[in-house]
Amino acid sequence: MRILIVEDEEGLRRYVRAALEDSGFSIDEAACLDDATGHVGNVPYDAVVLDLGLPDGDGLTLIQTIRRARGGLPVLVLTARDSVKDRVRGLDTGADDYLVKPFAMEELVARLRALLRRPGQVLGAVLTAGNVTLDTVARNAAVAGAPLNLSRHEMAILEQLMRRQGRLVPKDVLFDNVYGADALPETNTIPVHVHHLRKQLTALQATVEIETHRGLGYLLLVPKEMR
Amino acid sequence: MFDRNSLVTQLGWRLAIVLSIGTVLQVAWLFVHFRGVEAGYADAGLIDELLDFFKDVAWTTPIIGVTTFIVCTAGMKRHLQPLRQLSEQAAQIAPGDKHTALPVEQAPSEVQPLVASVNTGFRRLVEAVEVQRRFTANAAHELRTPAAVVLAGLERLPTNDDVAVLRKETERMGRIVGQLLSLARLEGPNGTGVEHLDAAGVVRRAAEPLAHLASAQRVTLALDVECDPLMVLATEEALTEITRNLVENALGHAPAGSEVVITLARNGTLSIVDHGPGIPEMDRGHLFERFWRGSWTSRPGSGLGLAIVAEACQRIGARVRCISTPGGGATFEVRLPIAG
Repeated sequence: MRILIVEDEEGLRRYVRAALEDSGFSIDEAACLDDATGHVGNVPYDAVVLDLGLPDGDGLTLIQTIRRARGGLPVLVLTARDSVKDRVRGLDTGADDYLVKPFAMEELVARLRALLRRPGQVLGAVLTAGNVTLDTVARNAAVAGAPLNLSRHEMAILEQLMRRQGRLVPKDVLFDNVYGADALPETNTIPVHVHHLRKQLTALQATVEIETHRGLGYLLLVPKEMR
Repeated sequence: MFDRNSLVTQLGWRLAIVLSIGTVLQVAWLFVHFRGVEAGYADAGLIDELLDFFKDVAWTTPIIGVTTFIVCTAGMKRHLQPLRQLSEQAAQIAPGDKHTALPVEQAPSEVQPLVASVNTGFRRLVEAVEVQRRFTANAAHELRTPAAVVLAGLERLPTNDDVAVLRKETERMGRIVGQLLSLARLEGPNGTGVEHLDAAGVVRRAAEPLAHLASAQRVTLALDVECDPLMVLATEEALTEITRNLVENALGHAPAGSEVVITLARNGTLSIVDHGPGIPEMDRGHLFERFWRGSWTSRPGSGLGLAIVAEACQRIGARVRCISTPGGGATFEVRLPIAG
């Protein structure tokens, strides 16, 4: 998977590159907006890691260029600005995710993977978390090779949780993805599905856990002691 | 009762002295005048003449004096009334206010230069505070990238005890930098002011990104909303900062396996409940001071989170207090102003 890093700060660029290379990505670098625009036009990247404060302009203009030329190319923004206003502006312009400096490399890699796990992206077809795999095309899931027997809704829930593993999937996002945005809230049987899902995962000794954060949503965790 | 610094008292004293001296001079003049006449007449003349003088003329002096005094003091008091109003306005000026100027025209003309000078002083202070705030914001902003480089560099080093300490401290530094920025933003000129907001939505959006922090230490986060949507008067920034910092504070003290509960009641009370060690009564007064960290905590904190909460509450006119969670732990309660 090929990633473009756009960051003018040499030190940070170097370490981000090293961390991403360790995680198996191949990396190109750009130190300014001009360079980056050229790279994006010529190379079919899988994702872009973008710093907003660049010497020759605002990184947000690159997002606009990318959206015009390459539609769904995931963009992860690195920034020193983090007010509510800045976040909204960044996401409105089309950034897919937002990481405020300073950040842990582990977090950057996790967020980047989550973007690449979206439908249509490189990692979007077969999802893995711990010893659980889910083939989003064939619509089947397994724990260490042993198939899980899941209903359509349970499969959809597990898929959403695996795409965003380690992070909360808000309950309304989960609802929209499982039932469609037009469904009536009365049809909400997600807690029941999650209960079934948990039972099957435990039965097959999966190394993942589904946490309930009441009133907020669910989170798929790969506990450290189980890795 | 008599305030020696009061203009009214001072005026009264002076009137009394002038009238007394006037009366004494009149008596003295009569005395000298009749000494000459007395030589050719009987002894009783002088005393009779003086008595006549008091009976005919001098008795009016105290009455004129008292009347003058009453009229003058009442007039003075009325003319000094605008000064009282100015004092009240001045007393209401709080740090962070943009409009600190007192209305010069209201003051008596003698006092106008003073009011104008006070206004100039206020303006300089406001400017100085703003310069200070912007400096903090810029410094914090500029520190973010170097902090990111140091943290990233430390992550490349092979882990040992020294590196682990450095990483932890660098992470803390990064957090402090972010919180200084938050504080500077909250203290800054209020762009939009409070607006009608759905507190349930803002609190939920603020809490969602914190769930994975809870998860990392095996704590679950829960949100119980009594009324959804719940309209309050606030700014999104302030309500987000209040929620985020109170939840982060609770997560800092919640033991593994416990639950941190956020509740939003119909009356606008936002509570964040943890089941940690709780906060001793004697420490509750200092909780919201900047850089204050309880002696009872061994957790690494910046000491700024609760100061941000206090600042954000002040911004939207909310009240915050800390009480004990039944069964152990701390509960923070924020009374949000309900809209409508």
